[in-house]
Amino acid sequence: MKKRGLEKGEVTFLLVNVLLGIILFILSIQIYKKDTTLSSQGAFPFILSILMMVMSALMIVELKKYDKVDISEKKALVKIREIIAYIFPGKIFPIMTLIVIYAVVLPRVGFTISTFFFLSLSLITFHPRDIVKSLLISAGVVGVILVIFQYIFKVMLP
Amino acid sequence: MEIINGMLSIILNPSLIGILALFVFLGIYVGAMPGLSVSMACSLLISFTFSWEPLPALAAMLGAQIGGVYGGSRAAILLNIPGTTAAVATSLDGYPLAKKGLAGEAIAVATLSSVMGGLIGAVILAIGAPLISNIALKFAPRDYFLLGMMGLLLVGSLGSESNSRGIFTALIGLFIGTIGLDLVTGQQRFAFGNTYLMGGVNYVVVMLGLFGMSEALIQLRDLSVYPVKQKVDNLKPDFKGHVKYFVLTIKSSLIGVFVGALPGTGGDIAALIAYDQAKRTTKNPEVPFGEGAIEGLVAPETANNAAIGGAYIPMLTLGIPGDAVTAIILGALLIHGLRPGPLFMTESPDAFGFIVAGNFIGNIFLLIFGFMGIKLFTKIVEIPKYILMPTIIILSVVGSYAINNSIADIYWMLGFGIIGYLLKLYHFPTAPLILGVILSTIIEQSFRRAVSMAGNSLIGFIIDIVTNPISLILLVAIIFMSFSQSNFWKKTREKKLLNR
Repeated sequence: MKKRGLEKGEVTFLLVNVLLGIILFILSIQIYKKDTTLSSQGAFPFILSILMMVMSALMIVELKKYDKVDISEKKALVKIREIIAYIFPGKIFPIMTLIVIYAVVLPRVGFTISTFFFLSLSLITFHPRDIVKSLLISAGVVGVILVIFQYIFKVMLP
Repeated sequence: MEIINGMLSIILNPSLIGILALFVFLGIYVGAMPGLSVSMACSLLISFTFSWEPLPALAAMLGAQIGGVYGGSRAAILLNIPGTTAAVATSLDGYPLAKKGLAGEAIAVATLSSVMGGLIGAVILAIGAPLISNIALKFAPRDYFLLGMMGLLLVGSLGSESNSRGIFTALIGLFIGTIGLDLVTGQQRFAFGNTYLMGGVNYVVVMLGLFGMSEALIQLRDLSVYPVKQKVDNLKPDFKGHVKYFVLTIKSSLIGVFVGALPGTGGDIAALIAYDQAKRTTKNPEVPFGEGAIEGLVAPETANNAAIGGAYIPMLTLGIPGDAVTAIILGALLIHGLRPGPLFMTESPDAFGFIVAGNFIGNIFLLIFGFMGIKLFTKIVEIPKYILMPTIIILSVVGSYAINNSIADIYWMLGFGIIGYLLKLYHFPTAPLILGVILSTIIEQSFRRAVSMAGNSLIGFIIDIVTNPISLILLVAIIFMSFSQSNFWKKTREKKLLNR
């Protein structure tokens, strides 16, 4: 099988996982030391956290099987920019921002209005010239969701 | 008798038949649309059918699963983009057939093969599940612990580029499952005094985040892929022509059921194994494999639909799901108060009968819908991703709120969506995480009971395992599976193959 190269930020992501394993190990040991029997409430998470650290170590060891991308000479700022560009390409960042705003606004203004604006702005983000079309599609989709979920599935909407 | 009553409950109930038919139909289109998955559809359905009676909710999910697994073949044949992972092998010969102007024949073969596989899978489910259930009654807690671990090991290692990454995500899932009040002592674990966390993280929220929102974000990364569609003609079932593939159909069905029944595997692996087996055993195919061999279409399509029945066997009898979709359906059964496991046949025989009958009838609807609506299909796949994916995000929001009418669930779903997006971006599989969350309780409780029975001693626990035949078989199976997935074994095999 052809080797793939490491993605930008992959090593950092693996290190975050290692850190997660360590944090969970510390938290688990605090529960486990209250009762050190194998059937106690802390034993299972304690074993899991040890296994997580072992797997994290294996993931780091396995890095050698991927083609390396030599970015060692690049400045830290450039590396960070490249990682951000990889995680948020194209319109992903604006869409994620819209999702966060949608989640915050939703309980305050209700489902229909917030969903209409979220969908309209998402569509406009992808096709800025088709504003009217985006508004019409959004209205249609929100209408269909309301009919299907409120009347057919009888789901309580946020 | 009650099993037969359960079967009759669907056969004699027009509304249940209607729901099943509707969701088989919708499932075909969900499965056919690249970017939408059966797991995504079933995750959304759990939350939307939350307030329904158990049987209609089950009919909806069963229909979506049967239709969705088949639907993946349409996109694989017409667009060379497998609509689902189970249809990856289908595209190998399906698309070359479509390029030759034989798309109609290819779809007809895929439909007949899927229906045959689905029906055989249902027969084996009906016969096999009660047998396994009887054996499962003899299982001790340590055996459930070993079975759960086997499922996680398999799902963690198969279908992911690195065993350690797959197992790591499974461990995260198990950890998430431990959050909240401990079931035995009632004390908090990893809840930090937060009332939401004390109740534990709802697995439907995790599913919606990982299969709904994160998948939508991944799809939105690249909107520039425009599939090249093929013309479809002559969409008629050729029953007589299909008879010559009878042996291959039976073989592929058995592979599908067996692989599907292994905890942690699923239709995608079953389809690939069946394709490989067909390629190796078919002597002198009319067209070479990879260039439009009908056998290359029959084998994977039969196997992936047969795997549905197979995957239900461990899920219903042991409470261990065969793949990600049955893991979701296991979650749905639990939500509706049904408890899959060795006692499922005796406690809920009607539900078992319903699932078996649903599998049969669902496949009959598949035969009907598989040969119609192709024009609608071509229109539906034209819906641009930039409209479809934000809509999926909205549905995930609606679905996560519907579980408890809690805004907090929406925030958790979004959080898991972003985690899932990062995991997928860096080649970590997400299915083991879901399986981990769902299996966490059964694995932990079984482990704690088993070590308690062994006097809280690790050595006693190990002695119990090696001195008990069932536990020993499971342990040997786990060791064998781990070894067969190890780099050492893979390298040794590669060397042997090169030396031949």
